[in-house]
Parts: sequence; structure tokens; C-alpha cells
Amino acid sequence: MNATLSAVESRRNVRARHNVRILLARSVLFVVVVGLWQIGSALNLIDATVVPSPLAIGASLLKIIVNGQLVFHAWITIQETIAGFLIGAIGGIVLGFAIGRYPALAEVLDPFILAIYSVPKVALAPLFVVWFGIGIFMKIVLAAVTVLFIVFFNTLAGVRNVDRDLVDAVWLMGAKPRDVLFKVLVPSAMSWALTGVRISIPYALIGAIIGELIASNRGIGYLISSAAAAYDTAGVFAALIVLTVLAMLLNAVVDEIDRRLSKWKVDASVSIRGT
Amino acid sequence: MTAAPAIVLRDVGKVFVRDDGTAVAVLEHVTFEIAAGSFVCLVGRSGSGKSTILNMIAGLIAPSSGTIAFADGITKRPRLDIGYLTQKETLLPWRDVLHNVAMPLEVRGMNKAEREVRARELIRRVGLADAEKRYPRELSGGMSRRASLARMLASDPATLLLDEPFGALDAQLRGDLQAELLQLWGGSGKTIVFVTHDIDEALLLADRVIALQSGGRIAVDVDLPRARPRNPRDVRFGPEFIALHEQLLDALTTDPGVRSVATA
Repeated sequence: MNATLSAVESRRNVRARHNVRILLARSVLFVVVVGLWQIGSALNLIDATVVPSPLAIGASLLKIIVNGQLVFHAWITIQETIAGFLIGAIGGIVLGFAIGRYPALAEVLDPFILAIYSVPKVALAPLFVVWFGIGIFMKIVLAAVTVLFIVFFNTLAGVRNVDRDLVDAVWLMGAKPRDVLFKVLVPSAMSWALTGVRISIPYALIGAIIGELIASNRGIGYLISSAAAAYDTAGVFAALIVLTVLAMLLNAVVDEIDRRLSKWKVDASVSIRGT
Repeated sequence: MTAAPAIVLRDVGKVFVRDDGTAVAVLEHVTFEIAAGSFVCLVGRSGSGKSTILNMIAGLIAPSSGTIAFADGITKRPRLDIGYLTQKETLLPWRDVLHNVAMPLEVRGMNKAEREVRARELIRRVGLADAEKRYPRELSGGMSRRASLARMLASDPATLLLDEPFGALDAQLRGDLQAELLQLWGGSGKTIVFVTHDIDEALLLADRVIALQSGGRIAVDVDLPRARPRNPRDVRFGPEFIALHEQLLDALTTDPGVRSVATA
């Protein structure tokens, strides 16, 4: 018993020591790269208008933190991302089940859906500007459309891939069509739908940012494009850092969802990824 | 056997149409009766149509010709008094053992408290009391089969259909589950139709063994001594079984084979 305990203990120690070493190595790598970059900038080996020095980027970042621009613009982007995501995800799931329940209808619609799905959603942005203006709503629509197709496709695939043998088994128990829908089709396809939801989260951010890049006066995308227009590369880099942090936060959310979904799911069979 | 027939197959035929449009007659003119309360084994090689017979009795597919009738004359499908255990596992992966076993009662509208009491009792009887909260993917092959057995029995069906239920298990586990099935069945008065390709299994379990050749042709139809439990060694080497064993083996090995490269 004691031997086992100490074995576990020592394995845990080894693991912890390993983690510390990895963390250390990462820190060293970061410091060395940024340090060399700073030295290179200071010696004018790197053109500051192309790649500004880390210190300049830091100063630029500090400036937008202090003057409140960061929070203001990041909040706009977050709102667009969340609203677009929710509309797209819910719409995609509902549409996926609605069409998936009628295999003949799904078959008829297949090529049309695929055609719309194949269009890079970015290309729709100018059209959305014409339709919806350059306000926050246009970004929400762009994010929602991107998310909707990913979720819709996965949901539809899920409904189509329901194990016929499970449906038969439950039908033989005397289940009514309503039971088959809610106790077999929905839970079975739901894992696919949620896989689509999981994949689509980063695309909501992409949709929002692209909308902002194309036409806007607020949001992280606007920060990037307005800094670039003023040849303020330090400002561009600072905004990119904010965007990176935002994306990493979203990925953390995705990982958490993954962890909860994996309860009974064996493999997250991903059929289709977004464009 | 003098008991009244529970199920009567009369002149049953089944034709499947393949994707390329050709028709394959899987069963032709199959006629036999199954006595109420008996344990009947259908043995045959793959392609002999034995699973198709079960699927038709269950009501999953309809015969192309002939009739399958039940003692009570009800023709509505699915029949609620039939439990069907297929070779493939069909536990719902998003439900734990308890909720899987309770499923047949749930779809029949039994209230939650009542069905869970009943499901727990069955789970205990199949020896899974410690696993009722586990999900199917957390179960071993033997445990899954036990859970499926419990689910099949949950609605207390009068007729049990089993399609090579223990085929994927190792010999030891198969022996355990065969014994448990006999124990669950003993004295219950339930009718069992059990499909297998394993002659030993048929001789170990059944009251009556029907050997099917391709097309569902009945090559052997024989009643067994009713004494139980039988020893696996006896059914293979015991004097009263040795002739039977040979007869059945002959029936299967002289099967001209399925004319049309069966896929089933």
C-alpha cells in the first residue's frame, strides 16, 4: 500500500518537474526571441516601419489600455462575436433538424446548400455592407452566416448518420415517432451538432473581425485597419496582440466544451470544417 | 410437444432486391410452428436466412409471401410482447445502464419511479448492480450483453428473439451468459427463438433444434431431452447427443451453399 502510494507520489513529482521544465523552456524561448528582436531593432537591423520594436509595441498597447480604447473596441468585437455565434448556432441546429427529418427534401436541397456553403463568407461582406450598413449589425450577420453553415452542415450530417439499428431497436420497444425523434434522433445527432458548434466558435470571431476590417469605425478589426492606414505598425501589432488574447480565450471556452461533451462520446467525428 | 403454437410460419418467402437490381430469394416456402413456452434454436450457416426469419417474426421486415401468425391473432407490428436481442449492440450510448434498461418501459409510459425500481431489479439479476450508472462505452462486452438482456426483459415479453447474442464473446463468458439466460428463462413460460451457427450452443440450450440450409430449407427438426442444466461436455461427447450432433453437422456441411454469394 505504502509502496503504491509512494509510486503514485513520485510519478506525480516527475510530472510536476516535467511541467516546470517545459514552462521554463517556453519562458526562455520567449525572452530570447523578444530580446533578439529588441536588440535587432535598437541596432536598426530591423526596419521599424515594417516591424516595430517590442518596446514600441508595448508602449502602443499600454496607450490603448490607458486611454480605454482597448476595452471599448474589444467589447464591441466580443458582442458581435457572441451575438453572431448564438444566432448562427441556434439557427443551424434548428435548420439541420428541420431539413434532416425529411430525407427527400434534404436530397433535393443538397446541391444548393453545398453551393452556398462553398462560397467563402468573406466575399459576402461587401454585399452585407450594402444591405445592412457598416454598423454592428453587419458584423453580427457575417459572423452568424459563417457559424450557421458550419453548425447546419454538422447537424444535418448527424441526423443522416443516426444508427438505423438504434432506431429499429427503439421502434421495436413500441416507441412512438415522437419518442424516436426526441430519444434517438436528437441525442444522436446532437453530438454532431455540438461538434459543429465547437468548431464554429473561432469562426464567429473571424466573421466579426473581417466585417470590421472591411468597413467600420469600431472593434478590434477597426483598430488594426486604422493603425495600418496611418502606417502605425506598432499600433497594428498591439491590436493583433489583443486579438490573439481574445482568440485564446475563445479556444479555452472550446476546450471546456470539449471536455464536457466527451462524457459519453467516443470520438468527436468531425465531418466538415468551416471555410 | 403438445403446447399450443405461439408462432406459426406458413409458406414464408423473402426476396431481397440488391442495389444492382437483381433479386435474391433468401427464404422459400418456410413452414414451421413454435410451441408456446419452448426454447427453439435455429442453426444454420450465414446466408441460410435464419436472421431474416427473426427479423420477420419481430416485425422489422415483412415476408414477401406467406404468413407469420401469432396465437392471439394480432397482426399489428411491432408486437409489444416480443423482446429482441440482436448480435449488434443497440444500447443507446448517451444513456447509462439504468436508463437504457428502463427505456422499453419509458416509451410505454410507465412512471419514472416504477420503471426505475423494475430496471434496478433486472440489473441486479443480471449482475450489473455496480454498473447501473455507467455508459455503454464504459462496459465490457459481457457487461453490455447483460445490460441488453436486462433491457430485453424489462417489459416482460412473452417471446424472446435472440440473434447470435453471445457470438462475439469469449468461450468462458459465453458459457456464463448461456447459463444465466437459462436461469432467467427457467419457469418463466416465455417462448424463445434463438439463432446461432454453433451446434454446441444449440444442443446446450434448446428444447428443439431446427437446422436451416440455404433458402431456409429445414434439413433437421428435432426435439431434445428436456433435462437441464446440460453439461457442455455432454452435449458434445455424451452418448445421447453424439448422433444428434453428427446429424446437425451433416445438415450444415452438406448445405449446397447460398447460390448467390450471400452478404448477410
